[in-house]
Amino acid sequence: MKTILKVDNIEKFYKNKGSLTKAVNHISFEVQEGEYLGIMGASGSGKTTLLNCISTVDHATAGHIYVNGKDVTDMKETALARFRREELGFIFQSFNLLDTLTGRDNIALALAILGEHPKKIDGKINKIAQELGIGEILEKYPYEMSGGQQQRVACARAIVTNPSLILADEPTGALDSRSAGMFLDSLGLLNEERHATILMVTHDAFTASHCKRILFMKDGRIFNELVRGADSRRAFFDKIMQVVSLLGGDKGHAF
Amino acid sequence: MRSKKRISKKVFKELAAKNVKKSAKDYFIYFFTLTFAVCLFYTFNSIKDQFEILGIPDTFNYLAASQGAIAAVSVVSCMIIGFLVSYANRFLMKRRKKEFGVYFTLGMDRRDVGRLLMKETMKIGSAALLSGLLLGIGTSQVLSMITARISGAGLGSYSFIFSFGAAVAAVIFFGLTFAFVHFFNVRELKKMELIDLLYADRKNEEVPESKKRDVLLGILSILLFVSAFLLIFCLSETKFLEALTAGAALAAAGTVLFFISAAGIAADIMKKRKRFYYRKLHIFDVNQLGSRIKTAGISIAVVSILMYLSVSVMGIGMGLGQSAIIKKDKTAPYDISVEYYYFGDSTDDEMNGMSVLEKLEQQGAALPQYLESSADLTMYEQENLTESSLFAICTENTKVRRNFEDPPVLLLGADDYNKVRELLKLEPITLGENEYAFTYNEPDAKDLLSEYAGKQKEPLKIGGKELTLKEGGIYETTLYNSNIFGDIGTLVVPQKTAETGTPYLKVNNGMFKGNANIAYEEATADLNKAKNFIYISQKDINVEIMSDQLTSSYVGIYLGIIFLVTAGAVLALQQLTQSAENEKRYALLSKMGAGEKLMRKSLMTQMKVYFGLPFSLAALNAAFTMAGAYRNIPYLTKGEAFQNIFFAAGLSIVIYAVYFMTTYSGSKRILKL
Repeated sequence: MKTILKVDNIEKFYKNKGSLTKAVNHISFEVQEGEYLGIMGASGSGKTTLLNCISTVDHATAGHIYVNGKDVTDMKETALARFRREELGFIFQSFNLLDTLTGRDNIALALAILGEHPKKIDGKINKIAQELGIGEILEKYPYEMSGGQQQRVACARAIVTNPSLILADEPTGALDSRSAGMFLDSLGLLNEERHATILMVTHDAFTASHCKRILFMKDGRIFNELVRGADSRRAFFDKIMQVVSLLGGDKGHAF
Repeated sequence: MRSKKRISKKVFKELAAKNVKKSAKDYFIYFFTLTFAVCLFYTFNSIKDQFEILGIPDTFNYLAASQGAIAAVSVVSCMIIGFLVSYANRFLMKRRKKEFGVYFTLGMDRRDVGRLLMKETMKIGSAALLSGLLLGIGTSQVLSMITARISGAGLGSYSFIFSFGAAVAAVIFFGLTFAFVHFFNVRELKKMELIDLLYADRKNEEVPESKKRDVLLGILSILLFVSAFLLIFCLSETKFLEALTAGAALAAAGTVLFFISAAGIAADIMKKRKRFYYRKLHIFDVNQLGSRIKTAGISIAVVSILMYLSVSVMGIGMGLGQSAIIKKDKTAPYDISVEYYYFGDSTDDEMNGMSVLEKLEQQGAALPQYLESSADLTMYEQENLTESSLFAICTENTKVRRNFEDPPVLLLGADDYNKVRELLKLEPITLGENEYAFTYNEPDAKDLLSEYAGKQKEPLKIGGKELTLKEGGIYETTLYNSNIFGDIGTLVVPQKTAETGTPYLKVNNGMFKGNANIAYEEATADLNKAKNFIYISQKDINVEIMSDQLTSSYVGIYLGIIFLVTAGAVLALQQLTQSAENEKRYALLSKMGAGEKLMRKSLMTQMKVYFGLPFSLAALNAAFTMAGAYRNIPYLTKGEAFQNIFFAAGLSIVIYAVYFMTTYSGSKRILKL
């Protein structure tokens, strides 16, 4: 097994008129190739900040992040752009498809930016579309699709470049439960069949139950870890709920 | 290792094309404004070729100066358009933050996104350039017909005009403008952080509130307005341009302070009037507008200032132009005037013995052969006879009197004067031994002279004789060609009495013989031989006056329209961006049960205030400024003045209304109302 992601003692502090917020406070963990890792936590626990640091959207205050052995914390602008197009796939809560482009073109753009040979692009898109069951909506524009369909196109866009790591930020946040289920099945498929390494941030226990391992965050620190192992998803979900109730308990959140 | 190839050009091209096509409606106002600017640029810069086709001679480079003025205005307008384009781009870039975020996460770097933007700008720019040029070729035909009319060349001399130079200049200037804009875009792009792009919509704009400061600024702005208008009204008599410029600057400063302070004060007042505040969607409207004007106060102020300048520049420019043209027929009634001024050297003595024409022939000049009829006259000055002493009893003040120190009053012998009248085909006058009369050509001098005639009972002592004013002896005649009305009163006295004075000026007024064009050309060729003499031909004067009119009218209209479309475009773009941001708010209102009709009305109210406020303030400023300016533009009747003002105001309102309607329908489309 190869280590795809190594987070080494990451800190992210915000200074705000004298007060110091430690959004991410000394976090270290590793993700192996083919893993499906979830990061859970309540709002404000620092999970999105952590993801942003890993995805190079944000800069960590201290510490190092290695993706595929490369330290992303000291990369420069052009190297970062190249790193993003070659190593990372993004899935956002609000889909972030370009509404000037059809579903097919949205996926094709990722390949084109990567510099893929134009002749190969259509074949790759058709293959991934078939796997994810989005063949029929490929020629539609984002505003003609439902949220679930958009998110699955976004999912195809993230995976089509064969990135080392797929980062998903609350991907089911804007979806109803049925669409969310279909989307998560797609994501699971990518993990099982294509051995895609996935890192997903969510606050939703049902979504998290699709992962193989879950890190729980609270106040910028890792608070607990759950591994699904041989559990059924139902059993894993119950375990997650136990931790969640523990997490939310002392804050009085009805989670 | 993955492929290191850069993103193919084709993908870029396609993406740019799709972006432009998709947001064509967003870009429409931007495109429309650019097209208009290019069209104006081409149209006004083609006047050089218009002059050539109309065959107007330009001996003294008046037309070249007029072209120069228009070229200078073109540079200014390009700069304004450049600002507009980069402003519009900043707005559009704000709208597209999320999109840029996606590009970055997909692995494009800033250079790639910069290139994409450049492709888009170039697409729109070249389309605007092309359509602007086509439109310009059309409008320049209209303009050259107008030029033909103004110059008196007649529509017969008009033919189709394509100005290659103007077209090339337009391409170069707008190319440069776009290059600059691209440079600013890239700079803007460099400032963007990926995290801000992705979470763009979560950021709120915060405005510090300070009521005390608002009230103080409000008072200061009113003081600035008052001082601006006082300045224009009191000082524009003596220093026309300086007073107008300074006044406009003060009014502009007042406008800025007004918009910074007014929104807060007005919103507070409206919030206190509960019966108004809680009706319909007024809560929403007041707060929306309040925060809008607070955050965009300065740009709204700039819009208002632009509109103010636009209307004033157009109105005043056309007024000056019309004032110039009124002089045309009266200041140069002779084909040519040859002037000789006495300077006190040896030539003076020679001149006393012979006429102007004789002297010219002696010097070998060709002109005398080409004259059919002419009148030779000599004007004299008398010691102690100056305007201030002569008109001391008068209270009537003319503009001409104010502008000069204290010129001597010139004397003209009755015989010489009758030669002039003969040339002008007027009845000769008879003057008794002890009588004198007045001749003038400055229209305003009429009042002065009749006041003088009423009050002056004492006889005038000239050359040892006592003369009384002849009954009804005030004549309007132009004694020699000039580019202005310079004569507020020349004394016509018996020939012998006149000759007792010191000679001041000798003039020969002549009419051409045969082909006037050949005579004119010969006279122009004389310049080297006619030493000591000044030739003033009707043709040159007409060209000068016409180029004056063209310059002030065209510059006024050109600048005015550029200011106006810029103002309209800025407001429209702001409102459209605002509407895009408001989509969620209106959706929420709809969910709360507000009907479509109510929301449409709310949008209309907001837009009316948003467009109306800067317009009203601009109208008020322009009204005061033009009222002040027109008091000091000579020779215009009230009707003519109002005609100009109404034209300027009307044109502004029409163009502004186009922007308003386009924006309203655009906003409705975005908000799906």
